[in-house]
Amino acid sequence: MSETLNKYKKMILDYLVNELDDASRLDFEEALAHSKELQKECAAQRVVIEKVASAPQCSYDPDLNNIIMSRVGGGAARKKLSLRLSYCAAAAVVLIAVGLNWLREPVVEPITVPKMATNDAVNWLVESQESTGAWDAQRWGGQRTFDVGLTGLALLALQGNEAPAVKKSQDKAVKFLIDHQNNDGLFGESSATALYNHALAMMALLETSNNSKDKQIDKQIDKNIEKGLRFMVVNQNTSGGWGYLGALGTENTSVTLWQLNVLSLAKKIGYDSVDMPLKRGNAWLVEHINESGRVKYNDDQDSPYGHESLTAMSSYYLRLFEEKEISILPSVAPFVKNPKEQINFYRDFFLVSAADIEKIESHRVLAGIRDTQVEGGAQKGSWRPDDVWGAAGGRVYSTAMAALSLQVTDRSYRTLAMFKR
Amino acid sequence: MKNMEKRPKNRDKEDQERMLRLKKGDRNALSELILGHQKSLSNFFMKLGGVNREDAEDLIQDTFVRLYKASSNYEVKAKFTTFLYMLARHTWIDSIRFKNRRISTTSDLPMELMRDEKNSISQVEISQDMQVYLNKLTEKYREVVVLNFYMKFKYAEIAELLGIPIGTVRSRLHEAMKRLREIVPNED
Repeated sequence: MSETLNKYKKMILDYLVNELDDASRLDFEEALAHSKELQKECAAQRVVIEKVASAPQCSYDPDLNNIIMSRVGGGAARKKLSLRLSYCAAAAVVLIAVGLNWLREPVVEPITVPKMATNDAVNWLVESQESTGAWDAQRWGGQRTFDVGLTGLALLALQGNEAPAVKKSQDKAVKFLIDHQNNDGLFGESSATALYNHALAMMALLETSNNSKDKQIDKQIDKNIEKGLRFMVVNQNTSGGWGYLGALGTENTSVTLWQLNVLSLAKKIGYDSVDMPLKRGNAWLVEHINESGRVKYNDDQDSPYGHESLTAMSSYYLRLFEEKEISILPSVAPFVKNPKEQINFYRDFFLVSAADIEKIESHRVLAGIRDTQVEGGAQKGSWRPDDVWGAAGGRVYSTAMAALSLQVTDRSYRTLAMFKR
Repeated sequence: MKNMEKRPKNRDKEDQERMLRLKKGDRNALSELILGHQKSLSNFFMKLGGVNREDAEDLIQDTFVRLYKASSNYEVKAKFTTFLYMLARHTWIDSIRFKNRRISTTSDLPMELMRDEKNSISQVEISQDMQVYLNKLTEKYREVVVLNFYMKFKYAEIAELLGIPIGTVRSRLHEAMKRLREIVPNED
C-alpha cells in the first residue's frame, strides 16, 4: 500500500503542473479521491506553486523599443536618408511614406544655430564677469563655493574667440584662476567638491595655454598646470578613481571623468608625467561600464539623476582620447534620438559632444538648447538655470554649458587641432 | 494560479510570422516583438533574481539585439517563446558571468547576488517574501521554477530551452518543490 502511495506522491507535482498524460491523470485522480494523505500532500504542493505563481508582476513597464531599434541600426538608416536626399526628394519620400504608413517617425532636419546665438551667449558671459576676473556664482543664482569652477567653465566657453573684449575677459579670468591656486596646486578652496572646481580650472588653463601666442603667459600657465597635475595625481585614490576630496571610498565616475579628461588632455599636449595615473584611472572607469555600455556612478548604483550624463561623458572621453583597451564603448545613440524633454545643460553638453565624435546627429538636443536661450532684456543671450544643477551653478553654469554645446563642432576641431601640435 | 503568465496559443504563431518578416528585413516586426514581450521579459529577469531595474533594461535590450542578429538564420523549428527565452536566459547567464568576474570573492554567486539587496528590483517591486524564497534556491532550481510555475513553460519546452533532458527538468522541479516546502511557510 505504501509503495503505491509513494508512486502517486511522486506524481503530484506533474499532476499540478499539468504534465501527466490523460491515462496517468485519470489514474492519479482516482487515487486522489480515495486517499486523504494524498489530498493533504497535494494541497500543500499546490499552495507552494500558487504562492510562486501569484507573486505580483512588476509594475514597471519598460519602453525600450526606441533604444533597441537604435542599437540594431534602424534609426541610423533613417537618419542617413534624411540627410542625403535633396529637400524636394525628401518631401516626396515623406509624402509617399506617410501614405504607406511606412515612416513612423518625423524626419528631423539638421538644425541651424545662428552665429548670433553663440555671440549673444559670449556677450552675456563677458558682461557678467566681475572686475576680479571671476564669475560670481551667487550673484547669478549659484553657490559661492563654485566660483573657481564656474570661472574655468566660462573661460572654456570663451576660447577660440579673438574679439578684443573677449580676449581681455579671458586674460582676467586666467589671472583670477592663477591667483586662486594654493601651494598644494589646488585651484579654489579645499572642500568636498573641490575636484570639480580644480578640473574645470585645469581644462580652461590647458586650452588657454595652447591657444596663447604669448610665450611669457604660456610659460607662467605651464607652471600652474604642472602644480595642478601633481595635486590630481596625489589625490587619486588607490583604486584608480577620484571622489570627494578627503573622503576615501567616495570614488565616482563623475569626479573621475573630469580628472581623466584633464589628464588625457595634458598627456596629449605633452605632459608625460601623467601616464601612469591615467592608465590607473582608465582601468577604474572601464570597471564601471557594464556590458551594454551603461556607465554607473560608483560600484553600487547609477547616478540618481540617470545614467545618461555619465554614459555621454564616457563616450566623449573614450572616443576623443582614443582609449583602445575597452571592448564596450558607451554610446549616446539612444539618448540623442529621443532626448528627454527636461533640459539638463550638463548632460546635454556631453550628449552633443559625444554625438559629434560618434558622428551621429543630435539635432533634437541642440534644438532644445537653442530654443531656450533668452532672446531679449537684460539677460539676453543667457539661459535660465532651470535644470537639476541650476541651484549649484546658477546662470553662469547654464549659459556657459549651453554656449559650449552650441559651439561643439568648433570645439571638437579646436581640441583635435591641439592634439596635432 | 490567477496571476500566472498567460500565453495565447495563436500569439506564438503570430510571433513566428513576425520573425520571418524580420528575417526579410521588416524592422517593424522587431518593434512589434519588443512591444509584445518586453514586460514579460522584465518579469522573467526579475524573478531569476540578482538584477536591478537598469540591469533588467539592459538584459531586455541585449536579448532583442541577439534576436535581431539571429533573425537572419531563423527557421520555424520551435515555439517562438522558447526561442526568445533561450536567448534571454543566455543573456542573463552572460551578465552573471560578467558580474561574477567583478565580484572579488570566490563564493557562490547566487548568494552574492542575494546580498545585493539595495539594488535588487525584486526587493522593491515584487512580492518580497516570495522573491526571498526563490533566491534561496540555487540557480538551476530557480530557473526551472520560474519557467514552469511562473512562465508556464512545459517540461519539454524547458528541456529545449535549457538544453537538458526532460527527465532532468522533472527531477530539478521536484527537488525545487522539496526545498521550497522547507522554506515557504505553510500557514495557508
